[in-house]
Amino acid sequence: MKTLLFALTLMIAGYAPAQDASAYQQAMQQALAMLDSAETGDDYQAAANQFERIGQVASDEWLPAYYAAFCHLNRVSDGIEKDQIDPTLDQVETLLGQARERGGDESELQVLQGWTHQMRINVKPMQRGQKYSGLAREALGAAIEANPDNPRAYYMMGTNIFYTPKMFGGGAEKALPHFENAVAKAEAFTHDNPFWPSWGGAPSAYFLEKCKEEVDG
Amino acid sequence: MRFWTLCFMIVYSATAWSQTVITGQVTDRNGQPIPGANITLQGTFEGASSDANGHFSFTTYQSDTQAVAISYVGYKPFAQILVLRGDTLRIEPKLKEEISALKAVVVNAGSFEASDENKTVVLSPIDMVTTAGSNGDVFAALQELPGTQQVGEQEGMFVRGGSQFETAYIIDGLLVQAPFFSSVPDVPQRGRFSPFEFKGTVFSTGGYSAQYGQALSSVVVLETQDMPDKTQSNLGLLPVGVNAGHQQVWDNTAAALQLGYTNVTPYFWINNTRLEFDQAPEGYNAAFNFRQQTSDDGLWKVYATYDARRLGLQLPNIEQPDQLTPFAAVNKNTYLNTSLKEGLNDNWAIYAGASYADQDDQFTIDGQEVITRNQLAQTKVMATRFLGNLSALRTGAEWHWRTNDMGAEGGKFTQRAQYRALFSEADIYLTNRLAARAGLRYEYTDLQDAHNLAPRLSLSYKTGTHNQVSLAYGHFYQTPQAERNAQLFPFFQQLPQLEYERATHYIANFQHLTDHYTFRIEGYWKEYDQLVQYDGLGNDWSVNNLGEGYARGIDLFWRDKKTLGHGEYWISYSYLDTERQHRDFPAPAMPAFASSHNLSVVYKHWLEKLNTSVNVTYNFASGRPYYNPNNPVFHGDRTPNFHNLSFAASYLTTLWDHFTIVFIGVNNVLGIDNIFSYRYNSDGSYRQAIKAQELRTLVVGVFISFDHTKNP
Repeated sequence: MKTLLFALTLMIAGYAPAQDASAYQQAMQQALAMLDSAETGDDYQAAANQFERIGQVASDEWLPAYYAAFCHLNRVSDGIEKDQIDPTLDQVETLLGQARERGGDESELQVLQGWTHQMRINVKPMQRGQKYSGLAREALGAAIEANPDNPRAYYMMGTNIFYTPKMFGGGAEKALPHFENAVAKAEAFTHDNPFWPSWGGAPSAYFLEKCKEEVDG
Repeated sequence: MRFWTLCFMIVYSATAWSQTVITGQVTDRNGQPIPGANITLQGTFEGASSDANGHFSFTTYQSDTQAVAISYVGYKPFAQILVLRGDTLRIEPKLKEEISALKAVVVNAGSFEASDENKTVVLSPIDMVTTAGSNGDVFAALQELPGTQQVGEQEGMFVRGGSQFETAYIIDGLLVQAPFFSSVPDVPQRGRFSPFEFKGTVFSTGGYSAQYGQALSSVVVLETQDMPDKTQSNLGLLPVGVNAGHQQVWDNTAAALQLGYTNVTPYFWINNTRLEFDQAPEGYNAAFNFRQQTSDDGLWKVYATYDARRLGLQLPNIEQPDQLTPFAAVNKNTYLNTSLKEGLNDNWAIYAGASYADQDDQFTIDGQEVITRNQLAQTKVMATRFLGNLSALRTGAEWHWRTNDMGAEGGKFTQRAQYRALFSEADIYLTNRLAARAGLRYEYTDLQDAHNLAPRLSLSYKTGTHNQVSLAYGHFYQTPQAERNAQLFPFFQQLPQLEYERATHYIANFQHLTDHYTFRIEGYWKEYDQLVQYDGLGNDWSVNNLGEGYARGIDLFWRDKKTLGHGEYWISYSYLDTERQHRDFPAPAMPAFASSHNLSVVYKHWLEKLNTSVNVTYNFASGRPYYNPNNPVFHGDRTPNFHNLSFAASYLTTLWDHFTIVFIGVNNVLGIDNIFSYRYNSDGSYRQAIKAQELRTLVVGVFISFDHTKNP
């Protein structure tokens, strides 16, 4: 009887945090599965919502906000209505701010910041190209500086340079070494945290091939 | 033991593990579904996203009273308390739209805006540089918008039946005394300022804000660049001169210096001018910029320019056609503008600005020397109280001190005047659809000891996602000033007796705006009264304020960025009906600068493979009235219609790894010999046609920019 009461007490007392921790793990796994299988903008929106819900409760964790921002950036990348781009990117920046407050990894957050700047260009390429391309490069430079082993920083820097016209210092040839770096660092990249960002390897390999083709051809 | 476990489990599942299904549809106030909304059971990970039809459904094991929150970008968050009892709960949240700059109606009757950031922009700063015929002149590009008149023989913006003196130019909130280079008879002058200095331009053809005064017809509001992005240098090479500049950017500070030398002599070797120059225009100019970020929302700006120019030419002599009249000018102009903007907190922002301008012109006409020197010092302060939901109240004051010196052989006159103004204006956003701007401006001029009170009102209503209608009304006053209006020079000493000139504007417009298309139609009616009048024959050197008139018309604008793929075009058309009796008019008549029909077609094409932007502009204006002493009807004659086709191309490339633009522009490609007006001799027996200085104008240049930021 005593054992039972003890177990019961333990269960009730220990229940909440134990459940929270495992619930967090479970919710993150679920949300990451949603993200992995996302194909349409709606899928990414649903995944972003899930991450935002997690972030509201797990108020010490920065990864939910990071992934919510990542989902929204994917939505914008895949193409959303033009007048939705700026409000969505404003939301991304709010999420990145939240992740930063919660002690988020500087290098990973700068990668998304750089991506956000790059996406701002889509609203008005002619007018915004120069300013936001520069801001993106600044953020991505900071991402590499904060962690020279982050493959995503090289990948994003590579795409920035790849899509910058040659006369403004861009092009396939100049982007190529960044994609080489990205592919190599992606292979070597490991992290103790199973939820740590791990994207970027596959598209880097794709862009690397594309650059090689353009340079050789 | 087992019993207890069982009991525990029963109790546990009965309370915590009973399922509640929460379902419903998220819509906006009009019942339109909102997809992608986030539905959260607060304090839990549980929730759902609404689908394409706004529907959602999820199951929760929570019990008792819980709050459900629904959020979506652009809408106010919604929350509802639910009691979870293990059944199905249906909720129908209706989200209210947030009033946001992106969705809200824009109060814009009468105005066109050119900027990078604002959504209602019709022109971008790049448009201003690339438009064929503008040749990099800020104001020339605005002439391709509706409401403006084609006037080829003098500088200035002639808007909706208004003279060039009825347009005021504002830089960073402060009135500019001399926006154009000093006048030369029959040779229109360029604007003094480089389009690259400005991040935004608002060109208002009527009904403008109470922040601006001293303009009967129009204001051109220019805002200089904020903190520049990067350290860079530039070099420009043209047949008419060179310019070079450097811009240095530190953490919170930036400074830039631009220097230029102009000498038109080599240009005359390649393109004949119809005028006989003794001294081809030659000049120096310098522009200095300084920026200091004073806080997150604070910026201190300094903008200063200096230019000096001399030229000499032989003017046709109307009384003795076989002779020429020598004309020479030495002009010096100093301009200093400084302003501070500071956001104090979420509720308050302040602005303070000051400027000083000194224009020193020395003319020699047929051996007679005339010296004029006009100085204007001014300061302006404004406080903005933000009222939430984009609404704001702005209140400010303005002081001007003018000194005008005029000296000729007969003597020297000096006039000093002080001008003060107070204004207050509210932007009120009632919903995303309906907004109003109401303002009041009070002005006092000590020279005339005159004051006025000018009400202004604009309303805009969004009739659909892309459509809006606007109305505007207002009174606009202007002090008669000799230095702004050469015709008033003979009345220099009588100016104190005059009252303000006045215009009343009534404007209605409809606008359809999408990413690809802009359509605007605007009708206006402008009444003039208290206009300055005098006897043109010189019998009676007295002036009065008894002149009056009207201008009414329709302006149309259509811009299409989509249909032609890599090409885009816009069409501006203005119809104008105007008559007035002012200055030396013996009877009410259409002024000589006005024409009934004005049309501009601007086409821009981007040749991707050649990295070249090709631009063509066509202008048409119906004939303008001119004074023919042989015709008993004053201004009863019309000049032939005006046609002009301009071409410009910019090739973007690199020179030694530095970004370079090679520019070529030709005005009047077809070489149409337009006649702007006629000038008659005193007995009406002889006339001269006033034409362009050269049949075709050619501009070529190479502009190199040196980027000093490190490329990774």
